[in-house]
Amino acid sequence: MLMKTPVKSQKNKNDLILDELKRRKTRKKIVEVEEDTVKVVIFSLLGELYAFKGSDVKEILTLVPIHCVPGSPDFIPGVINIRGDIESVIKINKFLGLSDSEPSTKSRIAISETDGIRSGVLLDSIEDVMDIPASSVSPPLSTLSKEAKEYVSGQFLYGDKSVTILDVGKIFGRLEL
Amino acid sequence: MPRSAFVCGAQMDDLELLVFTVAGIIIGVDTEQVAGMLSTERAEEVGMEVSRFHEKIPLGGRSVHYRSPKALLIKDETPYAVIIELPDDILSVSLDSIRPLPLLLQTYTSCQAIWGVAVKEERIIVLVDFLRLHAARERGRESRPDSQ
Repeated sequence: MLMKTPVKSQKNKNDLILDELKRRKTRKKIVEVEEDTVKVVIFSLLGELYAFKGSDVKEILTLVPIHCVPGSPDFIPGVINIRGDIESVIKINKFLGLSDSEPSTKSRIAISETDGIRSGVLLDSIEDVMDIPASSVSPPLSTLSKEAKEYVSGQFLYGDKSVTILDVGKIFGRLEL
Repeated sequence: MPRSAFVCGAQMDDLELLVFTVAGIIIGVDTEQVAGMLSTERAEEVGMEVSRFHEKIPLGGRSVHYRSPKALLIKDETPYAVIIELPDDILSVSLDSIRPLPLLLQTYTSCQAIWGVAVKEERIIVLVDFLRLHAARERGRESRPDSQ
């Protein structure tokens, strides 16, 4: 005759399982709270992944008409009208040693601001916005182009792809020269 | 009621702009800088210094074709003419609708003649100061060694 497992001991086992799950969750939470994280905005330019620090990105817009300002250099295609305010838009491809991108439905303009300078930056697409552990950021790859190295502050892995973190302040600083 | 501003001691609510389009870019110039308009042939006949708009202010490689060119006479110590496309309109824009050039653009000296942008009914009008442009070019000529 089969003996049914006493209900009380089954409950205890289930309780033990639930307790263990709670412990694991608490342990994970403690680790998450204690570790520094960095918010990043991951984007693509000609198929390569780059990121800005989230604190430097104020807004992300779909591509809106860019109005040419005569006399401006080729890496400043013009200005845009955002709710009555005028912002410049810059193309950073040239600074990274890349050729120009073709606009598409995925193109975005990231309104970035740092050290009192504000501008839109033209991007091929936005891939993700996320928090990454500060410990996952490593020094820039030595294989980066000479042009890009000047603007790079680090790199990290996004899945199996390498993402290069760009310093918006250094890019804007270069434009101010 | 638009906010007023005191400019050169006079109260000013609006700016009157002569508006024209070159290579798809809408340009506005203060009508106070404009002495008049002539045909291009007449401007050359009377011996005025004449140049095309895109020769004064580069348009970033855009192709420029003036379908109905007119010579805009600029009020200056020595009046000169700039060939533009036939003007679209004379518009009054409130000071509230004028924005300075963004900081990054102000850095580039080739934009000296461009002093701001007016936003009017979803249109962006690039504001040009021909007097400032002419003054900058004259300074450039004076500072060149071969001009001495």
